[in-house]
Formats: sequence, C-alpha cells, structure tokens
Amino acid sequence: MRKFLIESFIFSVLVIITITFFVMRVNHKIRDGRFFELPKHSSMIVLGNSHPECALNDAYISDFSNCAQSSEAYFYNHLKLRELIDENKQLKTVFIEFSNSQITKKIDNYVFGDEYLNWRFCRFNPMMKAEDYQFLLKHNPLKILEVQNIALRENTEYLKKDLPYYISGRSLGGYLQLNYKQVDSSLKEKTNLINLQKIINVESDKNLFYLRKCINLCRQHNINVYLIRCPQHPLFEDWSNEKLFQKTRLEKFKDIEFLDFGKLKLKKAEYADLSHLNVDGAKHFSVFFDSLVKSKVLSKQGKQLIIDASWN
Amino acid sequence: MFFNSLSFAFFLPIVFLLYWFVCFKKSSYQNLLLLIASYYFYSFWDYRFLFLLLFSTLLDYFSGIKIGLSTNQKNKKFWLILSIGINLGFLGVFKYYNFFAISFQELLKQVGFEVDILTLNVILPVGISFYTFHGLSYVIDIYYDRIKPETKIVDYSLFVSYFPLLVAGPIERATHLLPQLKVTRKFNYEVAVSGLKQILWGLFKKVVIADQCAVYADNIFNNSIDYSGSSLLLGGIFFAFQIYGDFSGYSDIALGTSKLFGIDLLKNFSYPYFSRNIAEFWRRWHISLSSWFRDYLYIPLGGSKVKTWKKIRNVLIIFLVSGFWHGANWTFIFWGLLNALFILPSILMKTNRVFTNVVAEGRSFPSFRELFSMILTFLLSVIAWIFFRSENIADAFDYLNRMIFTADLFKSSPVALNDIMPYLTLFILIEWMGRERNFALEKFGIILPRIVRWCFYIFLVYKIYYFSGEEQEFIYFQF
Repeated sequence: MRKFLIESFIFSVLVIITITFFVMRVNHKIRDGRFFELPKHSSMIVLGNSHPECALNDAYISDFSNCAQSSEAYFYNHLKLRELIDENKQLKTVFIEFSNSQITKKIDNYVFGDEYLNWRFCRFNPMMKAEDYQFLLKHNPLKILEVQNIALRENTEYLKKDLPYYISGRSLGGYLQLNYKQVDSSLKEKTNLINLQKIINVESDKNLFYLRKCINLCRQHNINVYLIRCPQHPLFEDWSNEKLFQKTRLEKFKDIEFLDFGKLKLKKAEYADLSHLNVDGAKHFSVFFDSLVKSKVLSKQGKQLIIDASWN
Repeated sequence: MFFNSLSFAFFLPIVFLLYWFVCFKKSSYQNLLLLIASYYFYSFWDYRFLFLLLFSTLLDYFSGIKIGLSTNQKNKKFWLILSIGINLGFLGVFKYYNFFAISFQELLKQVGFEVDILTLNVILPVGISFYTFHGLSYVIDIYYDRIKPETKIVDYSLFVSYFPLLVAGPIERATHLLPQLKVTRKFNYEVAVSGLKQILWGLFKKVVIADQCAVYADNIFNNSIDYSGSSLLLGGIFFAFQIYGDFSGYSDIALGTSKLFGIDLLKNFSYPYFSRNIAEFWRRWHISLSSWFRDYLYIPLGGSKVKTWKKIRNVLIIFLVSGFWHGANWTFIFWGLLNALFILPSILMKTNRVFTNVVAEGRSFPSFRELFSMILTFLLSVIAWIFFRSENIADAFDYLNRMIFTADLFKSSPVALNDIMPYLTLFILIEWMGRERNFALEKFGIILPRIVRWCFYIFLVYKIYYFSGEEQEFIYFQF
C-alpha cells in the first residue's frame, strides 16, 4: 500500500507539473503576443458592460475604441485595462461605465457566478495574476478548478487560429449593434420591482474595489479617467436605486469626474430595450459624444452643464 | 455523478482511503462502506430514485429468501413470478409505457380511430435496466438452485448497488460477485496499479475518442441532408468509434475502479472491432448483456439445439429483445433485427463459433483475409449503428440510401479530420497491440523503462484533461 500511495502521489505531482507547465506556456504566449494592440490612432477607450457596448459606435467617434462588453464587471475591466495600457502607449483617456446596475450586489454573480465564469474565465485567464486567481478561488473554488481545462483548450485553439486582436478575436467586446426596437415589449416583461430592489439596493464592495483599481491604474500611467453613464430609458428598473448610486458616487468616487448621459432624452425608437440603445440611438449618441470630444469639453469646467445643454 | 466528473475525482480517493485504512479489518465493514458510498453516488442524480432502487433490492432479497426456503414448487414459482413481474413492471412503466402508448395510439390512427392515450411525464431512473437485470438473474439462479439465497442484506444490497457497475453495468452475476463480497479484501499492489491503468485507458476512450468522435458524428447525423456518400460513411464510422469508446470506456473505468477495492467485475468488451464475423462481434461486444440473454433467454428457449425454424425464432427473439432493452424506440428494435439477420447465416451454417481465438494471435499483423473479414464485419456493424443512432427508422433508411447511392462515395470527404485522426490512429494502434490482454493498456510498453511508460501515461492524462470540458454523459446511462 505504501508503495502504491507514494507512486500515486509522485505521479499526481508530475501530472500537475505538466499541466501547469502547458497552462503557463499558453497563457504566457497570449500575454506576450501583443494581442491587445489598438489602432495607432486610438487614444480613447471605453470599458464597461452592455450599456456602452451598445451605445458608443466607434465608427462615429474619432480616435476611439469601444472595448466594453455585455455583463463585464470591473474585475474583468481591470484585467483588460492592464493589458490595453501595457500595449498601447498612445492611450490618453479611459471612460468607464458607472451606472446603477454596476454598483450592486447583483453584479457579483457576473464576476464569479458559475454561468459567467464558464466562458469568461477561459478568456481572461491568461491576463490574470496570482492575486486575481486568489480572488476568484476565494469565491468559487470548485468552478475555477472545473474550468481550468476548458481554458487551456480554448486558449490553445485561439493561438492556433492566429487571430491578431484578442478583444474581437475572443468576442471580448467592441461596439455591438442592436437592430431591434423593443421598448414596449420590454415594459410588459418588466421585472418585478419589489424583488429587484432587494438585490439592487445592496452595494457590491468587491466590484467597486476593482473600479478603484482601474482608476488607480490609469492614474499611475497618467491616463485621464472618467466615469460615464450611458443613456438608459427613463422606465428602466435600475433607476430605482438612484439614491444608493449617488451616495456611492459621492462617497467613494468623488475624486473622479462623472459624465452623466443616463437621462439624455432619446426617442423611443432609438432604444433597443429599456437599458440599451439600438443602432439609431447609438449613432445619435456617438455623434454627440464625438462632438463633445472634438469641442474639447473634457478639458473644460462644468462639463455636465455643457452636456445637458448641448443635447438635442 | 459521472466517472468523468470532478466530483468523482474527489469521491473515489476518499472512499479508497476509508476502505483500506478504516474499514480494512472485516469484509462486513468494507461492504457497508461500499454500500453507503454507492447510495451516495446514486443519489447524486436524483435521491428520489434511490427509493426505487431500495424497493427493488428489498423485493429481490426477500423473494430470494422465500424461494430458497420454499419446499414446494408452487410457492417457489409464486415468488419468482412476483419478483420478475414487479421488476419488469417498473421497467415497463418507466422505460416502455410511453412507447407502447404512443405506438398503440398510432396503430389505432392507422385503422381510423382517433384516441388520446395518456402518456407519462417521467424521467427514466438511471441504471434501472442494469440493476433490474442484476435482481432478475439473482432470483432466477436461486429458483434453479444454482445459488443459495443471500441472507446478509448489506451484502445483497451491495451486489445490486455496487457503484462502479450500478448505472451502466457490467451486468454482474451473483455467482461471480457475491462470493467476492464474503471475504475480506486484501490490498494487492499489482491489481491496484492495473486498476489505475484501466481507469486511465477508459477515460482516454471516453473523453478523447468518444467525445471527440461525437462532435463529428453529431454534426454529420444532425445535418445529413447537407452531406453525401463519403461523409455519411464517415459519420457512421465516427459513431461506431463514439459508442465503442463511450461504453467500453465506461466499462474500463468501472472495472478499474472496482480493482482498486479488490473486487473483480465481469469483462464487458473484448476488442469487438477486431472481429472476423458478426457472431464473433457479439461475443466481444457488451459481453455481460449478451451472456445474460444467452443464459436466461436463449438457452431456456432451446438455444441452437433445436429445429432450424426454432433456431431462427430464438435468434430473432434474443436480438429483438436485446434491441428493445436498449430503449423504447423502433430504431433499437430494428438495430436488433438487423444484427439478427447478419448473424443468422453463420448460426444456420454452424460457422458462428469458427473464430473463438484472438485475431492474428501471436502475430503483429493480420493476414489479408483476416483484415478483409475485420473490415467487412466493421462495416456491417456501422450499417447497424446507423439505425441505432438515427432518430427514427425513416431517417436511418434515408441516411443509408444517401450514403450508398450518392455518387461521391469514394471521393474525399469535406469533413476536416486533422484534429481527431492522430488520436484515433493512436487508439486503434494501442487496442491492436493489446488485443490479447484484458484491456489494451494492461501490458502496453511493459518492456520499456518506467520513465518512458510514465511519460506516456502523463501524455494520456494531459490529453484527457485537455479534452474534458463540460461533463459529457455516457450514452449507456440512458438505457
């Protein structure tokens, strides 16, 4: 028995070493592969969830790249930002979506919930450092163990395909065009507000900690950072925690400029649903956003007043 | 809990350590631990079905004792029929009721009657076909005085529910398994190492071969209309490897796991794709089920020692029942019928036992004749598998029709094979080299230095790890 146990142990250790070697090799190749290079002219990016992903069409905004992705929490924004800053010395400005849904406990599930970890871990795994692993392991150790091999396979396959840009190559963001207009049907299906409030009136310390890390990272590299809130329909449920949102903003992120586009009035036909703009809305908003940038609003005082006054 | 899941990777070492370090002193402790572990293992799917398993166990346990104690034949027969009736009744309700209800409804529709027969919305309890057959063979064996009834309920329950074989076999016999449970198992290094190797090879077959072939087979079968001859043939071949890798892989893991506890299970596969005719194929494919049907159905019907028409009848019955055992669908029944038609000529010409040895025994390569026979037998099995895999008989015929009569049968297929071919080649090569052994990896590379063998095993583990993703269910779990 002793011999069997010792041999089994040695064999297991060798297997773990082999697997770790291949995981590290693949991750290293991706990390060192300059897969996050933006076009040379891109000096501005936006990070965040599906709100900016669908609202800011980079085809209408000069020197701008949309790097936001649906249900992407600040933890993943931070990982992405680290790589983007590392590979794009031309980066001058980073906009980060800061909206009502981003600050709540609900978003924790998007960081380490089973459903999201399944694919998000695979794609972000190469960019993670030990502390990032520790964070995920602390909250969902079994799932992290379970998806390691899927990550290895997917990343190896990605390298084989030789795709030049990680964010689009791995479907990790970029402007998402929505062609539908479903405000009315969304209103009918509107989530039960009573249940929702239980979730969205509790702040997520974990997610906000990584927003702070994003901000600090930008500052360390002398990159301007702005929090923005993209337009959402006035009847969107998440507005119901506005009080908490403003409290969080003023208490924890007072030092960061906040550009609020959330309540800009758009036509019903410009919304895809209550929380996203469709292709027409995105065009309208992106052209406006571009005009703000071009008129150097970002360097002026009273930005919010200018924004509200300029919107038509 | 699947054998290829993370939970099993934790479960097995824990049970193993408890078995050999805590419960090693007496067989009763060992059996109790294995029984608890087996029930825990089974309740991972749905704890409610555990009650069905317990009921079936108790029924056969008490029926066995009653049959054993009865002095008159009438009583014996009563308990036998009661046990068989209730066991098959459960199987019928859970597995076949909807099939019969719908088939009857359609039959009535054909003759002009529109009726709405009640169908049941029930889930098939995992392993019901397997543990029912365990119980049946047990009471039948007692009835025919082949064994004495088991009085220790833990031992009997373990015979039925032993976790390596609980959900997909092999279908054990009381005469083989129960005596092993009566003695205290002692740890044996060679047996345990062999068990680990068998588990490794089983996982490779399941995760690398079956699950990867499934990607191709599913794609081709689900979109068969888009493919022509050569690709459809490939689809059939991929499915043949998928089902073999899946089921024999499962059996290898089951046998290997059991070896870790010092318990030997019946061999279920013996390189069926290296068979030289269909009769040999059926002696090598799902051996525990084939021999079950042989012993409890075919031989009681008279076997082959009867008149020709009865021989034909018996062969048809055994294969139709075997097909039906696999599932409540006409495709399985037709699959059984097709195999009966393939095997009948050799039974009638008494050539079914021509090949009882291993092909090319003691040689590295087969003769041309052997190779030709093996390819022909394999292709016949592929044709039968097409029925097994298809949604319905019409689809199967359409598939077969397109496969044979589309012009490009011998042109190259548009299906890209680069990803799977190296593994498939390695798999066939190792199976061929190990065909005289209990499992292919048993003595593979035994003459090589340990470091080389270990490197190869690590390569296999790495590939299993690499290809295992979302847990893929074993095909035979649905039976």
